[in-house]
Amino acid sequence: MADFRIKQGYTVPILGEAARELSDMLNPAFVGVCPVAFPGLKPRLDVSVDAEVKVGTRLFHDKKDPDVRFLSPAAGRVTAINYGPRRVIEEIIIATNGSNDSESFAKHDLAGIASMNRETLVAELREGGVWPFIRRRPFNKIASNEETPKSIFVNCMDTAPLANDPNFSIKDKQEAFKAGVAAMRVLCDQVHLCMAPNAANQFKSIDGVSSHTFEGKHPAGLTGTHISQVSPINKGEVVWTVNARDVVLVGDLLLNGTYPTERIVAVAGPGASEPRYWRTRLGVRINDLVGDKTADGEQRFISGNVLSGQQKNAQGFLGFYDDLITVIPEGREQHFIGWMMPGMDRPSYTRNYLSGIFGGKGFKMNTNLNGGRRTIIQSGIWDRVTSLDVFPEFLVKACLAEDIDAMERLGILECDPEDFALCTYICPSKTEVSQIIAEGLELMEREG
Amino acid sequence: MKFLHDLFKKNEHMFLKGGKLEKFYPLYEAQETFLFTPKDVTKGQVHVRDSLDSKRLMSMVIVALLPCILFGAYNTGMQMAVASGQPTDNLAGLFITGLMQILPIIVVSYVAGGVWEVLFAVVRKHEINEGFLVTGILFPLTLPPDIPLWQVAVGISFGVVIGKEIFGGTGMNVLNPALTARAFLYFAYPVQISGDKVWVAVDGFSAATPLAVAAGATDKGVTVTQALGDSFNLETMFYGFTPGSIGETSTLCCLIGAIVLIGCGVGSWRIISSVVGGTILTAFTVNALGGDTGFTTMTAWEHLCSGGLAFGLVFMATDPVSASRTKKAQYFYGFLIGLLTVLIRVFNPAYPEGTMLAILFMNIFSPLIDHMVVNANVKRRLNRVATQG
Repeated sequence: MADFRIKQGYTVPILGEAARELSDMLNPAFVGVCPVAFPGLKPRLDVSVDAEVKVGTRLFHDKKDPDVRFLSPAAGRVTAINYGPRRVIEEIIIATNGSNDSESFAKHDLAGIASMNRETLVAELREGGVWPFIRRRPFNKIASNEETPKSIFVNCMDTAPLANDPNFSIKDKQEAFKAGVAAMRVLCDQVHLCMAPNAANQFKSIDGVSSHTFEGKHPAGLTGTHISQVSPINKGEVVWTVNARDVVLVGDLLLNGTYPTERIVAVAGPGASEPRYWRTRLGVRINDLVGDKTADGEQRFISGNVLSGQQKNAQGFLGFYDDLITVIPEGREQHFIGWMMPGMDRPSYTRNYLSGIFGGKGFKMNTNLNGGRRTIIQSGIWDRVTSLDVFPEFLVKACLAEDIDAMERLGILECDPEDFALCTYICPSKTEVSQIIAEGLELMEREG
Repeated sequence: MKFLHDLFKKNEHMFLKGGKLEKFYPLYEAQETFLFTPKDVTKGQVHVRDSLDSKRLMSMVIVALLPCILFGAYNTGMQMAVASGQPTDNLAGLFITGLMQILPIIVVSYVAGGVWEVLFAVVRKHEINEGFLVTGILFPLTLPPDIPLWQVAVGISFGVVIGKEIFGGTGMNVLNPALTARAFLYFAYPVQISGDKVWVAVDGFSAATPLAVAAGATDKGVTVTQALGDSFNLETMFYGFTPGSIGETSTLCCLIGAIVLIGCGVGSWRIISSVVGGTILTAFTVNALGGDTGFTTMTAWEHLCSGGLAFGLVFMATDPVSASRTKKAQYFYGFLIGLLTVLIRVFNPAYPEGTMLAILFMNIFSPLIDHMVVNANVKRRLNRVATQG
């Protein structure tokens, strides 16, 4: 139990936070699952086009570990399986039929879950399709049942721009959350709940776990920050991580014996004309949620937040781990001598524009790069938004040089690309810091 | 502006891959982005970006330099008027006279250095880096107003090519290019950049800089304050109405520059304050240990208000490429610049201006200091494993 204050960080001043109103969209016309989104997974299909599926029918599994299964979030018919370059499976699309026919799984009560043996629990989580929600670090991949984690970190907060607030979106899920945490405790003795100082009661009154609060601007809410403050990953150690919203799903599965499909998704961003919360389904098609409620002009749809989300088109689907759809305008228009202007409307971390002195807190930000790419000038500015105990500039150099030893010495195994998203955001040379770290991690995993 | 925009759009294809003028894309890019913000949108997972770009960043440094430039023009004119016995009450007149004297120096610096910059960008196929905008103005400001223009061209060429481009260009250089250029001129053509004859742009007129006068205190057997006398009292030196390099004389203007740089978050306050701290501490120590007369009696305030120290510590020491990057290292780096400046000045009277050498020296050492700070982090990480397992 500890309270942490994160000094580094920045709140990206983007407009369009979701209003705290909840609407229902429990049966979107289409749902989809994207196997390509799981790094390192070799998907093998269990359904073909035109197959009828129920909620919880197996769609595909991992060739390397066949018990890692991915289930259908809705009942209906598989209408398409889309392949990308080199025949990677991009999407499995299901037209829903409105019914809630479900496969059934084992059912427990709270006390029953706490007394389960680990092996049975693992088997049930895998069969019930919620195992992939548990990821492991380093490398941020689906956890393997063959390794024992040092601890499990449950992230009950989100400080990302326009984030879906777990205090709001899982406030009615106390029972399921408790059950999920109980399951985590069976998986590992050491469970850390990391929450905001203003966390709602459903996160606080949990026994048998270590609770921590994290105060500060983004990245205070990132799991990477939590791990590095509470108990950093050392060489050879593995930590499992899971989001509070996904713990709820784990709990739901065990309590109800059906594959849980409900997710409360925030639609936000300056390109969304009615930013709000929706009670909907895992894998919902973005178009079904957003519809025509977008601002004029070309918009970009992002599953996740603007710092680490995946770009999608309107026909795309909500990412497996995501609970936010951000809509922002594409910024392709050019402005005359923009760099010389006083810049009341140009948000900046530094005070190089007037906005830094007089500006408000919200800007209609778009996807423009806001400048040309230049060589990296190491000015130490990245350090100011990095909460990990690493030196991003030196780490990036090691990654670019593909020097695996140096990368490891400098702490890359403690890092996830999202930890450096703000470095990318503020870099005046427009360096893709998080991308470089991601590539470094890939190299590390391949060769290290 | 639609006309201009269309003009760029119409001709863009010639500069893109496969176009006739593909080689000159860096030039096209520089001009287009000068006039219009780039139309590129983000790719990857970070979808929005801060508004600060390299152009704005570098132009803020120029803004911070404006007081020094403007005052430099005025002071050059004033020193010329004093030397030739003309009245000194026409502010605009003095300013224009001075400007006519320094403008050619600045133009030559920009043109000569710019040619190299573009040449390297074209050969190496990368964008033209805006960092040169700063180098190109910093260098002339450190020169005497009487400098021959061909030396300006030779100096900036050396600074850009040897000081920067052979290391790989902006961001990779070890030394500050502007200071490298100045150091080159100093050692190659000492007659035109030191002594008494060069600081006022009037032929044959000799006027010593305050620092040279202070250095003379040892021979005269008086304290520095006595040697400086009334003509160079602390106030005059602080405002900068003294002979000296074009942009360096006014500590006040440098102070304004420092406020701008720190205020907009471009310059490192850690470096600036620790150079000042290093200077003050060393000066006090030297005062205490030295004799009652001579150069060792120069006070910390006289150090800060004379020579190129104020200019160097605000605009040169803070150059992020050649300075230390880690926070802890910046304190060491800055402190040692202050310390070395005072030591070189006081104990090497043959060359009283120690700032340039102190900064260049610490430029060389800054990667080492950073390395030590980073290594401490690495050790901490390894210790963690050792203690836990």
